[in-house]
Amino acid sequence: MSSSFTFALAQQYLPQLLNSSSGKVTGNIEVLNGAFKITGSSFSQVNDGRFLDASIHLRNADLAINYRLEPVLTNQEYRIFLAANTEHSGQLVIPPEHLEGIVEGIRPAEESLLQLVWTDFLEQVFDPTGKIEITIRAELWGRYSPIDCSQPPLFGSREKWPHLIGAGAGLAMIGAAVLFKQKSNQIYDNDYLPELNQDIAQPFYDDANSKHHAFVILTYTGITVLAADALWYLLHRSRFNQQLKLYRQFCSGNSLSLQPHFEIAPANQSSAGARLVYNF
Amino acid sequence: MRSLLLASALLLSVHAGAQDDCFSRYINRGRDFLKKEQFNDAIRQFNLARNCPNVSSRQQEEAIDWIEEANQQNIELLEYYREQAYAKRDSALAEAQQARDRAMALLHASGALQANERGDVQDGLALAFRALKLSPETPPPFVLRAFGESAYLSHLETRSGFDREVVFANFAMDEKQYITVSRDSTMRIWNRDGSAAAAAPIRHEGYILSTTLSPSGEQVLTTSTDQTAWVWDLKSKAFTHFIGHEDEVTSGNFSPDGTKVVTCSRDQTAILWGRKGQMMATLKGHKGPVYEAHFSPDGTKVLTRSADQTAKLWNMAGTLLADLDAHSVYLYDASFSADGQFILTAGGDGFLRIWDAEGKLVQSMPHGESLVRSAFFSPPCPEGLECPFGDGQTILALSTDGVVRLWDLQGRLLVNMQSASPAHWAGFSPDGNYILAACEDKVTRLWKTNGQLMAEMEQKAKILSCRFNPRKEQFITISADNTASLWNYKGELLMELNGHKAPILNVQFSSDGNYIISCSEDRTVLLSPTPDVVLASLEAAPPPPLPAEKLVKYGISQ
Repeated sequence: MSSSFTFALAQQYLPQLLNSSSGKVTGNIEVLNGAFKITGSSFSQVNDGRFLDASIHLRNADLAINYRLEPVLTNQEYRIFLAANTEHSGQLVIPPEHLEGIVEGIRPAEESLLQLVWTDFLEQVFDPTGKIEITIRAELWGRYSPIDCSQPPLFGSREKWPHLIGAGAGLAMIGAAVLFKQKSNQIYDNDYLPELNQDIAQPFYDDANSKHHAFVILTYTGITVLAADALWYLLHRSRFNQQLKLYRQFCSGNSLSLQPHFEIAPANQSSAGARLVYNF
Repeated sequence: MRSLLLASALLLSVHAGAQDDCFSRYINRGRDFLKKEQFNDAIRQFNLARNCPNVSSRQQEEAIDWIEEANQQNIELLEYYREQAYAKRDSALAEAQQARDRAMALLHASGALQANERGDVQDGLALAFRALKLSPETPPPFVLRAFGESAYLSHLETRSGFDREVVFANFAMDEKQYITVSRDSTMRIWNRDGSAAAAAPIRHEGYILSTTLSPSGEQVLTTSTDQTAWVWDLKSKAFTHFIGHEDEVTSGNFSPDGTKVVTCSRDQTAILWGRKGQMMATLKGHKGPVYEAHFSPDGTKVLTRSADQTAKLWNMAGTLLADLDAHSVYLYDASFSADGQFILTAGGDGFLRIWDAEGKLVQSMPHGESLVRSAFFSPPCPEGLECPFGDGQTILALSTDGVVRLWDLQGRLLVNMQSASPAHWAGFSPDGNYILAACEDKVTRLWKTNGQLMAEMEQKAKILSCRFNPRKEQFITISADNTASLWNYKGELLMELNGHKAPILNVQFSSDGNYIISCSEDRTVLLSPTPDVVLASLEAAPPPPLPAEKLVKYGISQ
């Protein structure tokens, strides 16, 4: 007999997309006083606004995109995506080597200003002048575990009871059917066949016949109950195996457990106590 | 009595006159018919002349001569007609043969495309080769396309297994090796058989921003966002790490003799290095990121260009020689002429400027209100090529109005190449005789330097950039639809490089012009010979003719 107490240390999670917000920053790039400048910069939410504001600025040859996002709950984070379009050079692809700033795992504190920089923007865009439109999209990702890690999945005697009851009921029906069959045969052989008077023999025949019918009904019912129970058991077991797999994957990847321990040493110096087990 | 004698004399004279009239009338008629090449009528008239009353023997002979002349002319004419008929028949037969060959060529080309589609690329190549042989003088575009596709598919070498997109690939070491640069921050060197030529790649700790081959093709310089640069000696496999910048190293260059390196950075400096990694001089003075640094052709000066709107000229000790600061808006280009006597700068202020080797402004050429986006001198004539216009002194400028302009050193506008659609890329051919421009209407246009439009090549998607074959009259256009296309100067499509499944990031020719290497966001590198190389190998060892059942399979009946 053994029992153990397990403390899950590190539960693992799957990422889950909770929300996608996007906004558009527009402006006009023109040459003013001998330098490229962005004028008329404005921001508009496109959908499900988690952006507080955003703006674009030119700094040397770089295009800086400043933005602020609503704070997130614990276990939530943003991922940022950018798309750019200019009046004269059309749709533009931002090469990853020219994108400076964090685009994943963003957990903004309240009011904090975030920034992405398209480095060497003026070097890469053939004609930057005219209207520029930067679409900034923030995906809000949460984390979820597909299984409750507070309790490991079990498939012990408590879970097996219904199956045992089902199997017992099925077997009982088959057993009763056998008894009915024996009784039916007995009446038929001992009472019905020796009797030469048909009027006296007929009730024996009817009795044997009704017991035979009971045998048939109970046999089929019993077999059906057994089969259904077996199928239910298999499904139950399969679900348990799946849950166990998920549990091992997401909960018991690394866990600390306290287990009672009894050890018989070769020199008959037995000891009893508890041991700490760390699974990793 | 006297009256009777006079009347008789008159009658005699009239009779004689009538005889003369008869002969000459028929002869003249005959000659008229002869002129009209109506020989039978002429002969009939001459015979009538012979039969005129009292024809003299001389007249008889004359008439017979005319008859012979008519016969002779008749025979000659018949001969001429017969020859004409034979010539026409021969011409018709030749035309029929040509049409038959052309039809067969098209049939074979179609069969080649079918075979390629089924994956039987060797059959495709054999059929395309046959198609080309059936139309050797002027192959129809369809045949050229089929041969190009077959050559590409049958000789394509694929290198995959990169962790990230491959941003650069080029041949090195006399085409025996090639280098690849990937967004996984590594530069690798490969043998042509695809095996790694070095045990480990050069690994930066940030993205690689530029890759430059030394003039000898034996060293590679990479610069990175990790603030460092590496030089890899491809021969010895030794590498040198250049550490000294305090921000991303935007680009770098080798000196013409390959013994020095200059790197430039977003830290507003450029650094001169010895080949062993020792810092020779820090070029301080710019007030913005430095994007370009070039050695002068004699290797005694360095030209830098910065986002601070200036270019600066330095000596090798790091002393500032001249500040090229006449541009009032962003400076897009700065380069030396091939002889090092001039410096060219192109600015966002709409001016193209020429400076002398000391940094003194020589010429300013206005481009209206548009930004001069790129400008360069025509190339010096490559060895072994004839270049009547490749003087290295003509300047090509492309501005944001989409017009390609050619200027001379005196600031005179030579040619204004304005096309139906604005250009966003332009370049000289290696011999300087042609100019290619990729235009917004998905058409690439090839001009002679005198402004004569030579060819227009339309494509399905936007053309991102182009590259000339350094040795042949060919060029490649890279499109936004993940393909690149090889063309000749007649504007004929020779080969479509359609093996990539994501945008192509770079395409290069080998220095002998025989091979093409391309790399893509699909994390692969593809190598293929140009179609003429494949054709030459097939000419040397022609493929065996396909059996009849295969020809039938591809829809070709002899």
